[in-house]
Amino acid sequence: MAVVGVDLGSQSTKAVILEGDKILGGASMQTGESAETEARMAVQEALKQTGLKREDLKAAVATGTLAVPVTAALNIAALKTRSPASCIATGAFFRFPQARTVLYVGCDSSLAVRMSAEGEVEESVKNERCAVSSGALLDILARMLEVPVEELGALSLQSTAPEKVSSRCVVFAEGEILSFIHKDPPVPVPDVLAGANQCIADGLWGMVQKVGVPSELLICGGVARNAGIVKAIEDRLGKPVLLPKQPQYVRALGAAVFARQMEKEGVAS
Amino acid sequence: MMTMGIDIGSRSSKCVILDDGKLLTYGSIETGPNIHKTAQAAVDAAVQRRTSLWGEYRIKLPDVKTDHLKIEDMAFIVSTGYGRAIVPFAHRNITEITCHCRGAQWFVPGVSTVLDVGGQDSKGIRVGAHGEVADFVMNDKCAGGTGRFMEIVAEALHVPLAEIGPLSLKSTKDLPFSSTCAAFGRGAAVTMSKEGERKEDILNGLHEAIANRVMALVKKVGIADKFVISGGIGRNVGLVKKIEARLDGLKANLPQEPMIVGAVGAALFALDLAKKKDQADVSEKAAG
Repeated sequence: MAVVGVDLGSQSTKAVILEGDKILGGASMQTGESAETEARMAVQEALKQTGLKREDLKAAVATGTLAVPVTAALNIAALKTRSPASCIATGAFFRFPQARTVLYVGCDSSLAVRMSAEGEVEESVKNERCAVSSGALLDILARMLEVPVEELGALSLQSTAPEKVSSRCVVFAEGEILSFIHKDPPVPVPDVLAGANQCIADGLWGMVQKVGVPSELLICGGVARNAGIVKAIEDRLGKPVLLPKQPQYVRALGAAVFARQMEKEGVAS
Repeated sequence: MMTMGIDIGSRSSKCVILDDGKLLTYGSIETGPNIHKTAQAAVDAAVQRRTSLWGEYRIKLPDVKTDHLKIEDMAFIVSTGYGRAIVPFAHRNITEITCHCRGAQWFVPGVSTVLDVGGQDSKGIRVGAHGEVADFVMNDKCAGGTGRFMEIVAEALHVPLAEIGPLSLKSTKDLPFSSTCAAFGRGAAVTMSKEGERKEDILNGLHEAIANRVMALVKKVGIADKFVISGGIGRNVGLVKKIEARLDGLKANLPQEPMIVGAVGAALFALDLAKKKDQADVSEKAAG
């Protein structure tokens, strides 16, 4: 029986379709005016990869910042919402059961979770008060430097002398970085990016340390696609992290795993 | 004897010229990337009497022509603010804490506590019995309690910065602002707007959040009568009202022109220093 997990992030909406232990499809849409529309479209896109129809989806779980308003729009009888933290842990555990700590970094939220060996959330820390440990600065950098956000990571790895960012606030860091670009001669782009990565990684690492890393650390969320950030975290950890192939889908996958559970328990009928 | 105070802030720069301690003229401009040019432009704004940044002049200036005045006409020039060290024509630079303390006393004699919230920092100053800085606290690490937060939200809601204060007073609903981080301010404002919330209520919630932040800061130095609010927030009636509500019955004193407090303080120090220099010159001559 196929089920779907939908993750309404602040910048993109993702849907993952799961049948048993198999991921059948996944799609991501940019979040814009209406969360309802994007959720519907993401599910439709994901369905296209599976050959299934909407009616074949027996259960759905929505999560993310705007999870509540879409529940009516998906038109799936069995639909529930689950907290982002539990979906992140569940999705991470589904892919890498050996992970005990998960660092999720989204566009403007981030979360560090420590799990039991059975994948249950033991402790979690959110970044709710401050944007410095999130992808917010990367978005600003991409706009400022006119480099697509997907290319920032690779570019930052070319740095030879990272330019240190002293601000601990994204708003002020933006001004500081602007002064690097306006210097004569300007600071090379890779060094600007590598410096910003250090600033972000410092914030994230603080969260990871609060929950602790008893064994393996998994990084997920859209920002995990930035190789520079991943490397900066690995430098602090002193060993490689676990990195899912498509880290941006982990939260939606976790929602799908919950949907599967619902369906199994017969909530759907 | 004319003296000049020039306050290079992170967002705006102000220049004040005093004639024997009396306000002769002042002006303001937006701070640009080049501090040298900004400093010169602030002087030009003062002599030509422009405060394009804030609209109308709130202090009536003496009816004399000032547009012929030059930097060389000044007996002494003191710079302050975040760019104070790189003003090429200043004779001395003094920290903004000291200058705000001095300027606040010029506007409100007998002041005990000063809350200054500018573009990128906020500070609380406790004034000592002899007008000196007895204690101060400063936040320049986080944009959450600064003018930048207001600027970001105003922009997101398409409301001119000068109008957010009056608009917020029309609020009819208590709506907590969902973010304490200025970087998230834009997203939070847009989301609330999308959810159908009115701008009036969003701004009211924003002012509530900022008032909590800056009051927590200034409480560290102690709040006592007279309490003065200076800096850009002094022009935001919505936020001033929120701060007043947290003063346990104390009145908030607002300088007529809250943004030039630091520059006035600098110009007063310039006057002291000019007099000292004069005396030194006289005694040198006598000795010679």
